[in-house]
Amino acid sequence: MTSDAQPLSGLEATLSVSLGRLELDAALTIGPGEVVALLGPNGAGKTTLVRALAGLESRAVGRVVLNATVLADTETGVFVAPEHRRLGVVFQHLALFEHMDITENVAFGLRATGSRKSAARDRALRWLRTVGLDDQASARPGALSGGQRQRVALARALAADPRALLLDEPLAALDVRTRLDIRRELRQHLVDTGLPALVVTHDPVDAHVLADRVVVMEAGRIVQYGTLADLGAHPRTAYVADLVGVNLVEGRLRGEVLTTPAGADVHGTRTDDAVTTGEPRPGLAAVHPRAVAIYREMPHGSPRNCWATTVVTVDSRADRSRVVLGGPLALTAEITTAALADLDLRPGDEVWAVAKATEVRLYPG
Amino acid sequence: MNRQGRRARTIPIPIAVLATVAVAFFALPVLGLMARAPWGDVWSILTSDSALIALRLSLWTSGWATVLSVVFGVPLAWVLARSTIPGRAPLRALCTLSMVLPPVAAGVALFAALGRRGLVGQFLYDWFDIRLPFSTAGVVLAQTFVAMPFLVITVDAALRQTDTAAEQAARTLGAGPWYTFRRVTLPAIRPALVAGAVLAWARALGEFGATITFAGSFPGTTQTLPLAVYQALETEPGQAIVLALLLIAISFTVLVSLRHRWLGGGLAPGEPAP
Repeated sequence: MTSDAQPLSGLEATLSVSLGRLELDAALTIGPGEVVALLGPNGAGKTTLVRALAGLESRAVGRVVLNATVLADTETGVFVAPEHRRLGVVFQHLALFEHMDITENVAFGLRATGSRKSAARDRALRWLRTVGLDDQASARPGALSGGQRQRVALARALAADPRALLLDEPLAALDVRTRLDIRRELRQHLVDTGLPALVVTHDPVDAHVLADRVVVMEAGRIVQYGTLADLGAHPRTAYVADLVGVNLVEGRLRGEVLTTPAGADVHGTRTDDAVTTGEPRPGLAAVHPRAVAIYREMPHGSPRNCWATTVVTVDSRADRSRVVLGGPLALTAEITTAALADLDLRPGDEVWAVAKATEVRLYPG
Repeated sequence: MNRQGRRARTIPIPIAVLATVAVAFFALPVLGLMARAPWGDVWSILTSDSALIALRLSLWTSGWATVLSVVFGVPLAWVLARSTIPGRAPLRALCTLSMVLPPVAAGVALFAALGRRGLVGQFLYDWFDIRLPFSTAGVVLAQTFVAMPFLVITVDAALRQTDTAAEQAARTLGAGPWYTFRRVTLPAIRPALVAGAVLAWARALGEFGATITFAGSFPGTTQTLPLAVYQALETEPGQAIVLALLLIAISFTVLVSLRHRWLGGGLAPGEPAP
């Protein structure tokens, strides 16, 4: 796609933005052809990061390098204007040009950079064909469905021949059905273009389908990165644990025991090499809800992890049920609905929660 | 939003009485004009030389005042709405001051600035032999002075209401600020621009105080329609009434045509274009 002689080293950025309510401070690297999902709760600064990368955030401080070209560097005073960054951006609310038809929308980038009208139009039509909208070429964006508008926004960004893509919640505005189609198409376009891409989302499934790697941002900081499997194995924060659906327990770690502030001991298996026996250090324990069993009576054989807890809520979904437990240890257990019926659990019931130490991963926090 | 409930609601009697007086207050002068108008002579009055000269001059000067208001007012509105320069609030007050200024004061102020002995006017006269007071150009300036704020506040409001996301999208697609302004911002505010221009034009057309103070009332060069009405009132009241009705008809048409845009309180961004 690119004819530049310079090496394709991808996108590297170290940015901080102070917005009062949000102190963003993040470093990010996206390799050539790599798709990175930026996950995070609302208000974490995901959109601000995208805007800062695109050069639209005047208060951003730091350095942005795309394929060895410095786009911004506060220290040396470099600041490439948004129109010269060659970053294809799909905005959260798409920001289509409502007063133009969709061909003019897609041709806009080419026209703006000096292409002749007919040439720009031809290329725009080709992109519309690629996203399956060539039969609507003269429609205004307002006449299209959400999915079609999403395709126009993507085609518009790609038609400008960008060197990297920034997609801010590209699937958020779509209904469930359209979302699946567009997600699949988007994955294909990302593979086809081979551009480094950052996809902002708060849906781990989107991240799984679209991205090679995940970066998690909370309150302006990047709290964790890696593959979704990495995140599932060693969630660093309650948000990440929630995202990947595992229980996360915080406490102080000593050897293969983690003690919670409430005094509960969690036995597990260290996943790091540095097994310490000295002073307790802050640590985390991760356990999948399916590894948590529930008993009415204290089980025999005295398992090492056996906690007295209280049922908070019960949520049944087909053959699996999730039981949220409180007490000295807040845990979610996933049991079969048949087991739930046997146990006859109600909120407020006092039960025993059990987890095998081999199913509990312990690591420094 | 219960329409029936709203319709069934009775108007309290004191409110009904006072509101009726208010309506009568606005309606009676128009009715008075219509009652006193020499209807048989309307055509001959409207096509008389003096009326045609004043009408032509009014259209010419108000047209130019509108052009000047758009050319300078849109950039001014953009600065007020979008830039981050300090002191925008006092700047906005300064640039819309003439909306609330007595027009005669505006005329005196223009004299002080652009008159033959004025702050700038003396140099215009000494160096370029340009004399603005008592000239047609002076009429255009007086009209622009009072009319441009109408365009500025309309476009300023539209710019502040318009989402800047489309403009930012344009930038990321490779469009510079000027291209973005022309191809994205201007089309988005076009309805407000049209409304503001029509309002400015109507204000310029009706301009009286600043014009007569700064430019005088010379038939053919500075005597616009409102000035002609004023002068005719003493000598030919019939002509004054007919020309006054003409001005009222024009203003009324403008207000009705802009009802949704101006009186309705603004425009929806992304309003479907025809």
